[in-house]
Formats: sequence, C-alpha cells, structure tokens
Amino acid sequence: MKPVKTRVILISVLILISVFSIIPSVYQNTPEWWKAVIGNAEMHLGLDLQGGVYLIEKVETGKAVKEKLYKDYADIKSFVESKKIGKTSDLTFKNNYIVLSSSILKNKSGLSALKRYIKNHHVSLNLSNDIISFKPSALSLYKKEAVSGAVEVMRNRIDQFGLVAPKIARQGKNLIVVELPGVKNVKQAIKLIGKTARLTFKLVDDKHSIVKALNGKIPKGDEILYHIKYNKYTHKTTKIPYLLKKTVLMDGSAISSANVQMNQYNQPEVGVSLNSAGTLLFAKITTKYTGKRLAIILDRNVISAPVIEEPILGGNASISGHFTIAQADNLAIALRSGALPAPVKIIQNNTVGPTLGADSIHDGILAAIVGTVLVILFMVFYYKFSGLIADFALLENVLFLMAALSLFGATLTLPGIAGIILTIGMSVDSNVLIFERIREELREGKPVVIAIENGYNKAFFTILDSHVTALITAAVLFYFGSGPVKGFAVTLSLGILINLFTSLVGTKVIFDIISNKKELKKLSI
Amino acid sequence: MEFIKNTHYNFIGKRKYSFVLSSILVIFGIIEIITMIAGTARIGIDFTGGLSMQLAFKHKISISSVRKVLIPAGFKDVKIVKIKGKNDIIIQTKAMAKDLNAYTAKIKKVIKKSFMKNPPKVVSSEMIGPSVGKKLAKDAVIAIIIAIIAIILYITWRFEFRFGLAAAIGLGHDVLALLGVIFIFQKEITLLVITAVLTVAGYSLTDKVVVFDRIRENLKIETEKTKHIDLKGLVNISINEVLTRTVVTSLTVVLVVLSLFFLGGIVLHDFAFTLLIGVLIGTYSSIFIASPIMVILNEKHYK
Repeated sequence: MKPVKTRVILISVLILISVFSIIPSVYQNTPEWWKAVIGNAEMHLGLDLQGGVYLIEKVETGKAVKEKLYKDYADIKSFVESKKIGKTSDLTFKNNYIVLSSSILKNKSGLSALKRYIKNHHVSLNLSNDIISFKPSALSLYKKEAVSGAVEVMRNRIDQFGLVAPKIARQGKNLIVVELPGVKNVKQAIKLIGKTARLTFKLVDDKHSIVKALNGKIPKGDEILYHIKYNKYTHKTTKIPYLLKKTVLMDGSAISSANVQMNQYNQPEVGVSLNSAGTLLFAKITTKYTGKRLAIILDRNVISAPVIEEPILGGNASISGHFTIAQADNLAIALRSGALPAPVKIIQNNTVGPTLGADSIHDGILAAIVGTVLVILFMVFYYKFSGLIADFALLENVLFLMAALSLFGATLTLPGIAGIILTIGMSVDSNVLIFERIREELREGKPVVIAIENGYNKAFFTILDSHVTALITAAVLFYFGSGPVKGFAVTLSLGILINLFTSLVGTKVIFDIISNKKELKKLSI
Repeated sequence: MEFIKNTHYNFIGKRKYSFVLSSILVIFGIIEIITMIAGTARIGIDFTGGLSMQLAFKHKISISSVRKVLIPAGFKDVKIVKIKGKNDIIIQTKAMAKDLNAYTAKIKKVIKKSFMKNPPKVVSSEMIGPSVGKKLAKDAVIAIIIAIIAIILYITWRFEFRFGLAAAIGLGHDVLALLGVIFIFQKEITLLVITAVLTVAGYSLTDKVVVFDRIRENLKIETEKTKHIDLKGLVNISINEVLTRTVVTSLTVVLVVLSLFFLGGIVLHDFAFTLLIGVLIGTYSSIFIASPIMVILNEKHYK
C-alpha cells in the first residue's frame, strides 16, 4: 500500500483554491467579500479583447528646452564672472534666449573670449548680435529627445506598475499616445505615468520671516512653495507654506534606486539610495548645512522639510511624508524611473473598444477549444486509460495556470490565450515521457506496479532537467527583458512550474490509488 | 496503440545532409537579422510605427466592416479601434513619413467609396512612433545571450560540457533557422511572431534535454546493447529509444498549432505559422543537429 492521503488532500485543496481564485475573473457579480479574500486579484482582458483607455498626452517640449538653456545660462554666467568679462547682471535670461547687455558688447576682447567659449563648450548655442540662443538643429533635436525620453520613462513606469500590457507611442511632433487596457486602477496608472516626478532638494530660509514673504516681500533668491496635507478623517486639505532658497542643491539624478520601507512608527516611507556622485554631493550638503532644514520637493510640492541632524555620508536617505502605501509605492516607481524630461498634459481622453472584432475573438477561442479537445482525444486514443489520467493532469494544468494568472492580476490577450493552449500541448510531454518509460519496463516483462514505479523514477530527472532548463530561460527573460517579453516570461514560468507538479504528483497519485485498490495484472497504456 | 516499434535508424549517419540543409536555413536567418538591423525587413507596426488616423462617421460604424474594406485594398497590419460614445474610429497602419498625405488620402478614398451613406470626416491624421521601445529589442538580445550562457552552465553541471555546448548550438540553430524560414516566406516580424520564436526556444531546449538525457543514461550503464559499439552507435540507439516520445510530443503540439492555424483567424495566422515551423525545426534539430554536434565535440575531445 502506498500512502496517498496527503497527496489527495493537497491536490483537492489546490483545486478548490484555484476555482475560488478564478471565479471573480469570470463571474462579474462575485460578492465583494469574496474578491477581498483573494486580495482583489483578477485577470484583465487586454486592449485587443476588451479595449481600454486611449489618451493623447502633449509634451511641453518648450519647458524642456527652457530648462536646458537655463543650465547653459548658469554656466556661461559663471564663465563671464570668473574671466571678469562682465557682471552677472550683464546676462539676462528670457524664456528661449539670453540677452547680452550693451556693456559686454562694447568689451571687444571679452566678447570674442565669450564667443570662443561658446563655440568650444556649447556647440548647440549660437551668439549673434546681442542674443544667445539654440541653433535650429539643436532646438529640434532637444524637442525630439524630450518626447522620446518621455516615452521611455512612461514605458518604464508602466512596466514597474505591473502587467497591464499597455501601448505607448509618440505621435506627430510632440504628442504621446497611451493605450491602457481597462484595468481597475487605470486612474492611478494615468496619474503615475503623467507625473513629472522632478525631485529637488532646497534649503529652507530660516533667516527671513515667512509671514512677510507671504505678504509679498519675498527676499531675493527665495521662493514660496507649499506642503499639501490631506486629512483622511475630515477630507480637508491644508496648505503649509515654506520659504525656500531657490538654488537647487541636489536633484533626482543623484538617485540610483528607491524602495518602499516602513519607519519605526510603522509608517510607509521611501528609502532612497544615491549613486556615487550623489553620495558625495549629499555628504557635502549635509555637512555644510547641519542643523538647517532641507526641503524635499516633488514637482513644486514640498513633501517634507526635515532638520539635518548630522552629516549623512553613507548615501542612503529616506523620504517620509504621511504616505499611504500606494502613494509611497508610486513615488518609489517614479523616482526609480527618473523624471519626465518635460511636463505632459492630457489633451484627449477616450474610451475605446477592442482592437479585435467579435469575429476574431470568436475564431481564436474556437481554435483554442478545438486544439485542447484534439489533444485530449489523441491521448486517450494512444494511451487508452492511462491517457485519460494524463488528460486529468492536463485539465488540472489549465485550471492552475488560470488561477495563477488571476492571482498575479495578469492581462489576458488573444495571443496570450493561444500561448496558454500551447502550454497544454506541451504539458502532456512529461506524461508521454513517463508512459513510454512504463511501456519499456512492461516490454522487459516487469510486473505492472514495478513498471509504473520505475517509469516515474527513471523519467523524474529527465523531466526535472528539461523543466529547469526551460525555467532558466524564462527567468532570464523576466529579469533582463522588458515590456511584453516580461509578461510572456511570467506566463511561461508559471506554466513550467505547474506542469512539473501536475505531471509528477498529479498523475502518480491516481496510479497509486488504483494499484492500492486491486492488484494490477494488466495496465491499459 | 503504438506508431513506432524497435527502430534502428542511423540518424547520425545522415548528418551530412542535415548540416547542409541547416546551413542554408541558418544563412537565410542571418540575412533576415541583417535586414532587420538595416531596417529593410518586413517589420510590424509595433516596431516601425506608421500612420494614425481618426475618422468621425455620421452614423454608427462597425470595425469589422471597415477592416473588410481596407484589407482587400492592400492595407496590411491595420489596427482599428472604436471610440466609445462617439461614431469615431482610429485606424493605425504602416506608412512611411514621406507618403503620409498620400496614404491619408488613399485610405479616405477607399472608405468614402464604401460608405457612401455614412461619410466620414478626417479628425486627425498623424505619424505615430513605434509602440515597442528600442530598449525591448536590446534587452531581448542581452537576455537571450545570458540565457544561453546559463543553459550551458546548468547542463554542464548536470551532464557534461559537450552536452551544454551542443544544446546551446542547437538552440541558436533553431532560432536562426526559424528566422530563415520567416525570410523565405517573407512573413512580417510582429511582436506576436517574436513571442512565438521565444516559445519555440523553450520547446526546443526541453526537447534536446530529453534526447541528451537518454544518451547520458546509456553512457552511464553499460549493458549488452551498448557494450560493443562506439559513441555514434550509442547516440543512434538513444535517439531511437526516445523516438516515440519525440514523435508523440511534437504531434500533440502540432495538433494544437494546426487548429490555431486553420481556425484561429487572421490575427493568429502568422503566430501559428511560426510556431508550427518552429516546433518542426526544434524536433528535427535535437536529432539531426544537436546530437551529431555532441558526437563531433566528443571526437575532438578524446581522440
């Protein structure tokens, strides 16, 4: 007698859990408590099957260019000053050009030094008469880069947000088309991808009065920014003003990674690791300004302004600001994926239907069902009763895979369905291997029970090695791939793991049950 | 039921023919890759971008009726979506930047002619960039290279180095030969086709490990049947022993793929085609490419 109880219980429990997890994905009126038990996990239908949101976002490329010019402006200003060509006030920054004062224009040797400096160090700039501006070629290049950069950052964020199978592409000169399948948290996703996420660190000006500043007397080189506080009980927001030095001490480019962590009060915060340049810079800042308050600003909102207690030399910092976990999560994603090169604005927001017509969906699903039935019939035809056992494992496979995809909140597309069906075709492979082994043993004249036992034992390492090899490929694709390749790798890995279980445990237990019941003289195989 | 019983085919002896056939396919595959890099291969709208056009119809309109008009008119790889709550549709199709206006006019003309009673207005018509980043292609290539190294390491650990190397060569062969067939049939490389190629890679590896596993087993236990023969003979015996399994497994997969091919509609056609060819190549190469290469590697090693 072989003990089968534990395995039967295990498989039954897994089947129950799977059915329980799939129901919210297929039955729309599932009660809320049911959904809550499985963490509101649900399979989503992709753009091709269900449609979704079709957004057109406009990239404000002008702002990206302005910011670039401002950086050059700061550099040229310090050159002019250090070489004593003129004063800083001789250069005036307008939105898309820099004006030179007449005193610089009169200083012939200074002007030619400046011209040389621009020619050698700022190839994209052009000085003519009293104006420094970008060359037309550089201008269009920067604008183009701002859009393609924004597309990459958005893709990156969506990738990290989860498996939602989006589509992001640039359109025309400065537009980006974003298509998101009708996922439940689509609003959150839209918010996340559109976030500029420019992180800056500025010093709080504690020498001047904030009250006076609010009345219009803002000291030179200062600005007022607000911290917006939301009270979750009263649903009221309060704005707390901060008087800050305008100078940016450090920005988001210093960050190498960001993760959500819990602080000692069990509040979510975002832990940030700095890259090597950032670590040095942050150490310098925190040493120089120990005892002062450093404001952390995201897109003109002050997140927090903690006091620098002591110099921070290790390159790790944390940002806390009364976040919910979801907020902290999104902030971490935004910081990891970097800032958008320029702000974006939604100019069109439409809901669209599926890209595939009803007939295509119908064809695809029909093909999937016919394919599955063919495999099932073939196995019975070729392996008789044992084939039936393999078919049981096959159905188990489909059930478990669907459940796992539901729990992962995967997005199902028509090709995805085809892929699952293909896994089915491949899943019988392990049982074919085992059955062929059993047949070999039987041919050598071994008794049925021993033949089964040997068949499984001999096939075990073959199945293990072939599955592990395929799993390595899937894991590498997941780790190094991006976008749709990543989603594919998840489905593939799940399929491999589930198949390993169903073929080795799922079918063996049935053979054991049968051979426990009666002495097997012959095996239908 | 048994298809095959006690076969004694000399698979390794056929290696001259199989190497010639495979070399031709692999060369075509390399040409396909070169044309992909050069941008002259037939690449899907996901990778190239194209034209995005929004049309406002007067009355209700169904996507399939528009598709039925556009495809016979020669527009391939067309994507059409309907905006909910309006009679607007968005058509995406491949077009080059320089013939944007001509393309727009052509689509407009074709549609206007077929929908006389429901004339559309062009809301917008603009170039759209690729929806798959350059990063994806780069990442995928890096991933495949790392995967191959990882596989060689794993198989070397579980088997021997020559098995690992032969499996990796076999895998590379399968991907290239599959691309070669895609080149010969002038199929378009879409995201779906790429997915199919990756699936085939997984299938092909499993298949090779199964064949190698039997060779490993026969190498370990010297029985009456393997005592007096050389490695070539032993590999032949091993392949023959697992032949039924090889045939049955490919058959079940082919059954599924064929139903996708014939019944799955136009959307899954190229996907199913790639899978079908890929599965055949993967099965063929385990026997006719990877195994003889393993034998050759061994001869160099020991003689």
